[in-house]
Amino acid sequence: MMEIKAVNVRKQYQKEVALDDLTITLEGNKIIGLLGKNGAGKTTLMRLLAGHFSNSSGQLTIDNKSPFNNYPVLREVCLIMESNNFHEKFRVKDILNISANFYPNWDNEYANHLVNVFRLNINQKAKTLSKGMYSALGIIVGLASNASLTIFDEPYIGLDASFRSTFYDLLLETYQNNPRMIILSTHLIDEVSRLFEEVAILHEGKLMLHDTADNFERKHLILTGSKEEVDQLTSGRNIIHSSSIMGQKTVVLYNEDITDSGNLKVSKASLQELFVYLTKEEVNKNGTTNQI
Amino acid sequence: MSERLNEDQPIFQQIAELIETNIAEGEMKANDKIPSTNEFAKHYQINPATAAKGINLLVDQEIIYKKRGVGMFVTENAKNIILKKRKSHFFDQYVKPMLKEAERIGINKDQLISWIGENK
Amino acid sequence: MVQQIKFNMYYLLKSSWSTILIFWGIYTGFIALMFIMAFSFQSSDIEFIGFNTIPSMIFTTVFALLLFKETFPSIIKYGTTRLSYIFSMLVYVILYAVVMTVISNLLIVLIHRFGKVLNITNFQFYGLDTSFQSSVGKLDTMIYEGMLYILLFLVGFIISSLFFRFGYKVSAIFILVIAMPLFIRSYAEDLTDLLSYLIITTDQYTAFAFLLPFSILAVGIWLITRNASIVDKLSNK
Repeated sequence: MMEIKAVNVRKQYQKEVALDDLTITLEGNKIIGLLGKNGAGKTTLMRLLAGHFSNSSGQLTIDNKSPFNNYPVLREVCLIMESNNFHEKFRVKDILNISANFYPNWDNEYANHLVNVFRLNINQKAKTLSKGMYSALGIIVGLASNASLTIFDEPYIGLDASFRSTFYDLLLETYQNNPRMIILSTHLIDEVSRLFEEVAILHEGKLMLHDTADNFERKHLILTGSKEEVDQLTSGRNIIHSSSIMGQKTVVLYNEDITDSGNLKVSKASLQELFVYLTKEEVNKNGTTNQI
Repeated sequence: MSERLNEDQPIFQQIAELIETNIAEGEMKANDKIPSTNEFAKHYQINPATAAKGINLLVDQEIIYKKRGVGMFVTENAKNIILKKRKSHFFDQYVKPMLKEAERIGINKDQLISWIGENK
Repeated sequence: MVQQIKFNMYYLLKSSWSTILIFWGIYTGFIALMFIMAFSFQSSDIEFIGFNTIPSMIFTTVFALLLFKETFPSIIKYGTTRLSYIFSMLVYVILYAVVMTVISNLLIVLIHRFGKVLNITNFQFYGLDTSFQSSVGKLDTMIYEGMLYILLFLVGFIISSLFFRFGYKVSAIFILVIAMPLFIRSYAEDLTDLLSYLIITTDQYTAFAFLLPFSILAVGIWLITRNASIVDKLSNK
């Protein structure tokens, strides 16, 4: 069982702070969504896990071992990024061969099957692949690696909606056949939110929220009704978003128990909407809080 | 079972309701095997844990029973349990909102009753 | 570690053999062209001269510069350690030197054969040995050629890793500081004395003397890369 533990992790590139005091624990064979705005530190976290560089301070461990320069840990980690995954000069088949050589649990048959699914030409060079096909190659390597920790960071640039859907099917398939921790970072939250068992949201280099997908759904509430009634019921509560029009007000609450909503209409937001409410800058400017 | 899922309710609840509806409509009968967690996950592109949670909801209500290593099946009493439950929810779920909307737009009770009479 | 080195070697070889082949291909093609020209101008008094080692030495340096830049990030991305990368690189460079030396000497033999068969006299082709004044044994020359390949390779490699890790400014300053003693006369003279151990035509020469610069360079590369990020400071990729 995989356990990732970050304690006060900080990563600084020259002047820019990418991760600032991140503390989070991820464990178990789950599909985990890692969300955050651009520059929130997602990619940095994932690259730290894959040993691309070391953190500036704090401790980051996978199963209690630091991944940096640690082969036994890293051969069980497969990170697929949106670009620059592979040597450009290589042909598709070379990349598959090399990956087969590296990952101890590589499934060759599955890889070949996936090549057919995505209609890749194995003799083509990586640099001549279209964006979509390059992404497909990354997806194939990630899925066939069977690495105990498989990480996809925006793996489908240029991939059309149909192939993306195929990817989700495949992700579930490989997860079921070979349960392992899969971290998926994406901006297309609506498309994948139902695949997540857990979700972590990073914001400005820190952990903003980490909970099960179920709890995200359970813990929030949208109340709509006349302005007075809404204000009365929600004053002093943890409001993450509010807007009003024509005397009607809509308020999104997080982590608040409202047992009697009176005449107000109660509804739910999607994970994507919640994400936007939690991280959008405007919320702060309006003076409403987004502290959880 | 191909109804689409929406955002208004938790996914696991929707899965449970889909199965219930199928049983209530008689599509699935007592001792019929229901699809596995993985089949649900695949069909609806949802996390298997979510599908399992929905199914477990029905196991708790004795609508579904598990046979170790074989799969999950509809119980003898499933249809009765579901109908009983849905009947008890009917007023809250359907009648109440209807009355509310009727009040809002000024339809009186007699009119409503006469419509219901006509429909039969 | 052995497993990692095996993987790294597989990767290094896979990513580089074609480049080496292409170099020799182009080079042989070029010589063939010279041959044809020499053959067709045989009656005239135009002389053709070819050198074997200079192009391959230049190639070696550039090749090493590029090889580091290309393979370091992509191999480490898979997850082998930086230490294993350095070890693999050392194994690789020895292999490389052997292969290059063998090819270049084979080429000379071939060219001389061809020259004799076609009876071409206006095309002079020099390998490393023919450019020495004093006579040096064939084997010694080949070892010397191999050593030069290793040396240039390591120099290319260390420069590449330096720029990769520290970017333009810091690396340029660093190189300047290292080069500074060259401009101080006494040091420069000492250095030339030391260098004479590396020149085959001198009396002090011994092939073992190469081990010193080799180890300095290898340790240098190790110090630069052992904790290096795989993000290239030059391109920030």
